[in-house]
Formats: sequence, C-alpha cells, structure tokens
Amino acid sequence: MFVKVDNVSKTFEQNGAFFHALRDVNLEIEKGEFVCLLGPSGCGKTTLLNILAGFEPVFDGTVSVGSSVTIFQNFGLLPWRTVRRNIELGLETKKLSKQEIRGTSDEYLELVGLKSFANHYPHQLSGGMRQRVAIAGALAIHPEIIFMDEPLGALDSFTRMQMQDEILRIWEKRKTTIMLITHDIDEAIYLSDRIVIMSPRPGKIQEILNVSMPRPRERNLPEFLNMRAKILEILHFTKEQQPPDYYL
Amino acid sequence: MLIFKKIYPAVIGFTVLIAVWQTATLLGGYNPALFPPPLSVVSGLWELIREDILTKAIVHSLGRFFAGYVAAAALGLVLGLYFGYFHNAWRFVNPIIQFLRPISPIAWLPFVVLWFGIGDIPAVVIVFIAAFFPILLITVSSVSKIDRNYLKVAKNFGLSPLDVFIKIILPAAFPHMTSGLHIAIGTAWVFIVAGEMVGAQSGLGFLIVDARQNMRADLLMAAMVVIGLLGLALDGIFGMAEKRIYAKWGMTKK
Repeated sequence: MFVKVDNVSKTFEQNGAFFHALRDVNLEIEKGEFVCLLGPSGCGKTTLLNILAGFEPVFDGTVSVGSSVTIFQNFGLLPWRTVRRNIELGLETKKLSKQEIRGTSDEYLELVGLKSFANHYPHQLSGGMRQRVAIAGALAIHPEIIFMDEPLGALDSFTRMQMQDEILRIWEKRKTTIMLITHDIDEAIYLSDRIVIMSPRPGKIQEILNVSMPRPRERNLPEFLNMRAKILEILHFTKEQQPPDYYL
Repeated sequence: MLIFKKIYPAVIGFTVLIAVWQTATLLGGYNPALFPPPLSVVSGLWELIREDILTKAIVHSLGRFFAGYVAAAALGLVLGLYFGYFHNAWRFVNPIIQFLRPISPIAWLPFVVLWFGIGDIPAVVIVFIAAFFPILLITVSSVSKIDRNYLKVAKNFGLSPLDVFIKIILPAAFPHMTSGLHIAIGTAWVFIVAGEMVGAQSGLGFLIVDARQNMRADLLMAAMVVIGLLGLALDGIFGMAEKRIYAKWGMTKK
C-alpha cells in the first residue's frame, strides 16, 4: 500500500476542553491514485493532511507515507524569487549540478506552460499561474505523493475549472499520486478516482466513494449529477420533503 | 513632467517659508546678528563655499557619519538576526536594550570623551549609539514576524537549517530590515552635529560652534541649512532604494 493511515486520532486542547479533530481514521491509497478528501470545515481534513505531510508530528496511531510535497491554498511561493527560482527551491536541496537544476526547471516550466514567465515574480502573475508554479515546483523534485490543501480555493470559478483540467492533464502525464483536499463537491467528482467523505465532531471518515466515470468527465451527465446527489445526501444537505401543514 | 509633479509641493512649501522669513525680517526690524534674513544666509553660504570651508566640512561630517552608521548597521543587523532567530535569548537581552535605549546619545558624550579623547571619535560613537538601537530592534522584530507560511514552505521542501536561514529568513526579513536602516539614518544624522561640537576641528558641527564663537548668525544659519538639506538627501536616496526593494519583493510600502 502506498499510503497507509492506521487508527489515527488527534486531540487538541482548547481552554481546558478537549476537542477531537480526528478519531480512528483508517485510509489506504494506491500508487498513482487521485484521491479527494471532501468535507465541511472542521471535519479534520486539513489535520489529516498535516499529519500525512509531516507538519503535525504529534498524533495517535500510525501512518506510512513516501516522499511527499504539499501544495497550499496560498500557493506557498517566495515573493523574492522569480518563477524559475521558485521552481528550483526544492531542487536546490538535492545533490544536483547547476545545469541539472536549470534543465529540470526548464522542463517543468514547459510542462505547466510558463516558459515565457520564467523571470517574472509571483506578484506579477495571476492566481492560476501562481498555482501552476507551485505545482511545477512540487513535481520537479519527483515526490511519490503530492498533497494539495484546497489548492484552487483562492481562484475564481472559471480559473478553477481550467486549473482542474490542468491538474488532471499533469497527473495523467506524470502518473503521480495525488491527495487533494476540497470542500467543492463538483471538484471532487470531476477529479478523483475515490472520494473520501469526512464528517466533523469528531472528525472521521464517513464514507469512501469510487468514481468510475471515464475522464474527461462531463459535469452535466446524469451519472455526475447522481453522484452529486448521493454526496449531498451523505452530508445531510438534502431537504426532506415536508408535507404542508394544510391545504387551501 | 513627472518629477515636477512630485516635487512641486515641496518647491511651493519652501518658497512660502523663505518668503515668510524674508517678510518677517523686513517688517520686524530685528537685529540681523540675532535673526539673519535669507539673503544674508545665502551670501554666508556662498562665503563658506568660496573659501572651500563647506565642502571640507561636508566631507568630514559624512565620513564620520558613515563610519558610525555602517558600524552600527553591521553590528545591529548581525545581532538582530541572531536574536530574532533565537528568540529565547532575546528575552534576556531585550530588557537591557529597552533600558539603554531611552538614554540620549548625548548623555554618553562625557564618557566618550574621557574614554576615547576628542577629535573624530566622539561624533562617530554618538552616531553609532543613535543608529544602533533602532536597527537592532527593527531587525529583531522583522525576523520574528516572518510569515509562518514561508517556514512551512521550507519544511515542505526539506531545507536544511542553514538554508532556511539564508534562503527564507534573510530574504523574508530583508525589506523590513531596510526600513530599520532607513529610520536609523535620519535619527543618527540628527546627532552628528552634537558629536562634532565636542572637540572636533572640522565638520558641520564644528562650523556651528565656530560661527557662534565669531557671532556670525548668517554662517550659523547657513550651516543649519546645509545640515537640513543633507539630511533630506540621505533620506531621499535611502527612500528610493527602499522603494525598489519593496517593489522587487512584490510588497507596497504604505
């Protein structure tokens, strides 16, 4: 198993009161899989990602993860570095020559279509372009898994849809394992092989759904809409049909 | 045209100031030896330039100023980075700094003269003391206030502690550090005159002492004008550099 999460729990103490961010979470992810963690705020999805990515070292249970890189919602770029130098940040920690670093950053600039922006600074780019830089920087060091923490949350809905296609294109080309956190149901259905639905208080996995529709997926097909209805139901967002109190 | 748009309020302000000054001396009938009109200050200035006194004074003052300022910047930045990074150590040092800081650099003058003698040293030391505290304090706060997300990025890519310092902390704190250097340049310039009034035989502060002893109010005022203009120039040059740094970092200076 590529990623294995075994009975993971995490408790935070707040003003003397304990609060279960995660309780008994079990999850396995296969190599090359695209998994979305879906759930409302406070369901512990970010806590789970922080544990897997190593940002949260204290927790109960065990996890086994290969080499990973995380992409953040705020893009995680360094404003004083150019696009190219941002992509090279991770490469600089590897034992590589200057030419190798340059060659690799060229390759990934090409992959995300930002070759002509190599010498721009992040503040000169749009949100979508910044996220492409972050993705290029993450891919460049060949991680076994990429964690994405609401990577498209800061983008407008049109850029968001474009970026979803972009992420899929890169994922299909590179065959990297991806675990993406989102609270956008359509995004989860559009992207994932499996959707892990989490629920809050205490944060736990409520259900795992397989998405077997072939890609590229059409957002208006009945299959897609059925899936969405199912998820809404799981998350208790469907209104029960209340009989009217009286008829006129 | 753009430059004109930027500086015209300053030009108008100064014109009005000089006009009011001239009118006051004309209508007030003051003794020019006590309150010189602008024109005699200009001729005093010309006298200083013609006799090659002014250039020498400026060169000497700027030399002492930068000796003290650069030393303060070097020590302040190094200590500031250290204490910003090791914040626990700063908790022990901070009270001492806060205790020393409100003591005017001028209060140190008698000791400075006793320890280092007269000449160039008092002015250099006074400038050093004046510049050191703001540079140290702002550097410490700029390191400790770094956006935590940058440190998360560093952890994400597995940077070594040395790389975290060189590639993340230093550049992230850099724009705010330059603000500290900018503030210190103005503060320290104020004290160059005081430093040169003690036993220096040259410089703008000496010019003031000398003019006073010779009862030359015009030369006194001329020296003051030069001090003000140089302060303005230092601040302007630094402000421009700072603006470029902020632009490169993608930040806007309020």
